[in-house]
Amino acid sequence: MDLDDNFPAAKRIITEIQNIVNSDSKLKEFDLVIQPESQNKSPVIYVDHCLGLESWCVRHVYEYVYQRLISIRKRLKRQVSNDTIPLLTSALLINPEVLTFWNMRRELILDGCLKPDDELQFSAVVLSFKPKCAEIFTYRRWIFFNILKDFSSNHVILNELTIGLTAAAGYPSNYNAWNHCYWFIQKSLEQENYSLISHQWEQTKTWCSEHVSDHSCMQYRQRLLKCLVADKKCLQHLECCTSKSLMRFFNSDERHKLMRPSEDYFDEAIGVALDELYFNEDLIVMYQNHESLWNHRRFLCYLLLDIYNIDCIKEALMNNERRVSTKLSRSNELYVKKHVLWLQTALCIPIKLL
Amino acid sequence: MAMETLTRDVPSSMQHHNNSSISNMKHSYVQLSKTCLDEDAQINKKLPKELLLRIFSYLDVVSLCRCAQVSRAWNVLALDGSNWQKIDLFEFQTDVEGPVIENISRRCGGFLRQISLRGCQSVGDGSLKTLAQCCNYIEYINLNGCKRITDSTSQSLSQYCKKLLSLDIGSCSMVTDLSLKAISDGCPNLTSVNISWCDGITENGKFFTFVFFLFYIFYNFEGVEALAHGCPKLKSFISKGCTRMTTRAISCLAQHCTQLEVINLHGCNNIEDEAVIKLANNCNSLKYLCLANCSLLTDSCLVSLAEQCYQLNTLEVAGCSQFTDIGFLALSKTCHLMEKMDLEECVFITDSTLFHLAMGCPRLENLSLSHCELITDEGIRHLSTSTCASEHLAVLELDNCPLITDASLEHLINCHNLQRIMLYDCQLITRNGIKRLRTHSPNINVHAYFAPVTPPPSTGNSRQHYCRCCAIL
Amino acid sequence: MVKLFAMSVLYKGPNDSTLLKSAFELQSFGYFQRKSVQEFMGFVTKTIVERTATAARQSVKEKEYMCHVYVRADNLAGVLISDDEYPHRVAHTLLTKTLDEFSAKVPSHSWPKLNETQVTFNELNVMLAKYQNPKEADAMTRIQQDLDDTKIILHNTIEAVLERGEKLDDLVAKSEGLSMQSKAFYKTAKKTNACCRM
Repeated sequence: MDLDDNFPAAKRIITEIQNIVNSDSKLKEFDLVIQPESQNKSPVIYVDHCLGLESWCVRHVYEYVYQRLISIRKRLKRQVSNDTIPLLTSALLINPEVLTFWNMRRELILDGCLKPDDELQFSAVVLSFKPKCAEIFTYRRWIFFNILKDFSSNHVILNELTIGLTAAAGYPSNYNAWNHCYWFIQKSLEQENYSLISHQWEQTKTWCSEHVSDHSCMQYRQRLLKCLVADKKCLQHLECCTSKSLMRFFNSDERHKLMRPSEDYFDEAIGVALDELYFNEDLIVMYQNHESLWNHRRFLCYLLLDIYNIDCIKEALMNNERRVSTKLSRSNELYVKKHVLWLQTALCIPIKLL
Repeated sequence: MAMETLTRDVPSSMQHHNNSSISNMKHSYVQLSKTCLDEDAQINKKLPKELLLRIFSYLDVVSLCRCAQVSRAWNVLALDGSNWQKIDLFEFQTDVEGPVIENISRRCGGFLRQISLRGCQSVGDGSLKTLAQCCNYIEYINLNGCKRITDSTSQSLSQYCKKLLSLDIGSCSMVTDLSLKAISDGCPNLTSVNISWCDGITENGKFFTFVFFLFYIFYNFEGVEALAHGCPKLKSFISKGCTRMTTRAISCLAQHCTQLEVINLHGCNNIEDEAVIKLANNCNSLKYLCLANCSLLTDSCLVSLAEQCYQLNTLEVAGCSQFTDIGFLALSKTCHLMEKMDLEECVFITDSTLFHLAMGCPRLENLSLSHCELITDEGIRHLSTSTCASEHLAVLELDNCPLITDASLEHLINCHNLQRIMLYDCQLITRNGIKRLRTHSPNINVHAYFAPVTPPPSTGNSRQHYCRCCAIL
Repeated sequence: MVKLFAMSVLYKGPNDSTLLKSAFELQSFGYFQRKSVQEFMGFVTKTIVERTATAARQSVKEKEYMCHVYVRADNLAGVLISDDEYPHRVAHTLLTKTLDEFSAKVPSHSWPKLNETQVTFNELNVMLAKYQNPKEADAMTRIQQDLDDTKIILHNTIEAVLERGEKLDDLVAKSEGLSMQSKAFYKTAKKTNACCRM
């Protein structure tokens, strides 16, 4: 039996969806609306720049578009035509994890049937439904890398970073979203644009304090920090009060009067790392027992030891960690123990809690 | 695979004499196999050239190009101009470029009668000039969507193709008034013209100066008038989406082209009653009329059509929201040949219209009442008891008629010929109602927003991800 | 995510509880989910208050969500639904403060007769917005050091709070506060991952 006979409404539904996607440049969300029973009214709901599809028809619509798209794909001469666009739109909104369908859209971009800017907008809408879907991110990067080929505009990249952050908020530890952001940071660094990395460093600080168990966000910050420390040029746009952290770090314990390290080490890089260390401490105090925070702390200690492998830093760090561990030993017992154990191996100094 | 060969083959065989690399390859192949293929081949021995030529004349472009590659002898025969009287290059729209057209023109010469270059966007004025010069006997030319052509093409056609009967320059957005003037000067036999969507002047407005803009305001006005004067044999006039079409232009057309049978003014939303009344008065053999979205029109058009155009079999008036029962009452009294009526969004019509249509239009096959919100079950009952219902009615569109209930579906059981019925957004229609209709007429195609009973087999689903909504509870 | 989703003040009567005021912050949910989420949070709030003893505190964990309840000795009850990253102690301090402010604003003798439409207590919305950042509550936490951890009963699922023999599914099915759509939403979401597979 022909599929049209089975569910003729599918064509109307996908046309309706395509019309909405075409006409609303501010469309921001797509979602399924749970509605097990149909009532002979259109299952496409469109309110306030949000697009919803009632759940009862999803399987049927997907079946309709899937069969057609696959049969188009199986033809030897691949005739990409405008008729496939509504099919692809509905298919990808419902199931964006099919790479083949994204590839068909890629072909349509190359043929000039789809505009890259519209595609960025469309894929952002899909992302609102499946914020972790890797295929969507890959598609966006493909458009930037192969079609637009322009990474010089701060405005465009900032927008992309915002989209990444929104997706990250939609799904815990969304490493695909963070990888996406980092890819753009790398591209901007290749262009010798150092302002964006500082911007992201500041912005994700707040984000982290709102998502304290998000491993991927912490990891993103770790990558940013590595870039910041590695290249002095990255630091130039950063607003930070490093001197305060430095003072605090090297005078953390009155009983261990320290040699002030030579001026060489008073660079901004260490200041940034120390800022992060104190920020991390604040978070651990406020939010107890989050592995992500302790992992991040371990990374920070490791970074400090790795870059500044001199005795005064080692000692200051040991003192600092002893202070912190003692303070938190009651509330974060498990993690403190692990942390201290690791630190002992790393520093090769036994640490006794106060 | 086949399609790829074709797109490559068309230009290559066209350029045979230019010794393109492909034909070189073919050439050596032909030499190699000459002895066993050419004169000695059985088919060439048995069939005289004339007969082969005759056979070739029935082939389409693709097959001819294939045959042209078989052997030298066949190449000559297949590319003989007499085989190339009708050419449709729509399938190759993206591949066809200027030189292809020029080669075709030279090869076909006076043989060419019909050519369709629909959608061939790379074709420009130059190659079409060559075409017009070489092929003076073209009767039918379709240039729909050849966006690069300008008035100059029409001037060439007017100058060289005096026999032109049918011209389609739809969606050629650079074409203006001057084209119609040129055509009206040179092609007096024209019977069919399509100038749909040639109204893109404002879209391209950035390219034109203000003076030009003022000039374009008169587009489809003086132009159509000229056409009316120059081509009195016009039978078909299609101008969809020409929003600048004026009442005066249409009136003039009506006055001079009294043989008009097909008129499509879809979306010409500035035309008024007077235009249609003139058409009704002068063009009594009108069969097809589309006035969709001409929202200024009122019942008086329908009344005058009813008075004079008894031949009318198709009337499309979607979006003519001022039409009421009065107009359709008049129409149903005289236009008994009506087969297709599209009354979508004629929001004022009531059951009374259906009552009269049921009485007066026994041949009605296709009726659209989408968004006619006043229609009730009673109207459908009248319709279903008429002769048209039991014998002809095949398609009925009732989507967005909120008052329709399952009772209508019960009435429609009488329509034995019904093939398709649209019921989208009729909120009072239930799944059971449709089920009952289906048990009586199992072959009917019912369009509604109900999921089919049989769930689809699960299609290739990819990796599972937990999504947020799953975690909420 | 450190996030407060809902804050409500209720009066716990002898048999059931009455909602006096509630505030929601559901921007992080999809547009089409918000209505059902709000209804469901309202339902959980009411159900849990009815199953919390007078003068007791409870914290109920359900997946990544936390529901904190405090029923005072005078039967005024506060419920706070947050993400489980939100510090629990801050949440309970916040409840104490909310109920204090509420009782200062609305006289206690009127509580049994009031319903949601008759109460004006917009401070609740303000507080919900302000304390999204738990640091705002820092000063308060120090004052409330006496809040004893042991007093808070912690449950790991909603089912654990229910009385013996009760099933959440039945309560959802019976509830009048939930629309058909929200019930369907609950059913679909309950089948693990079901809406992803549709």
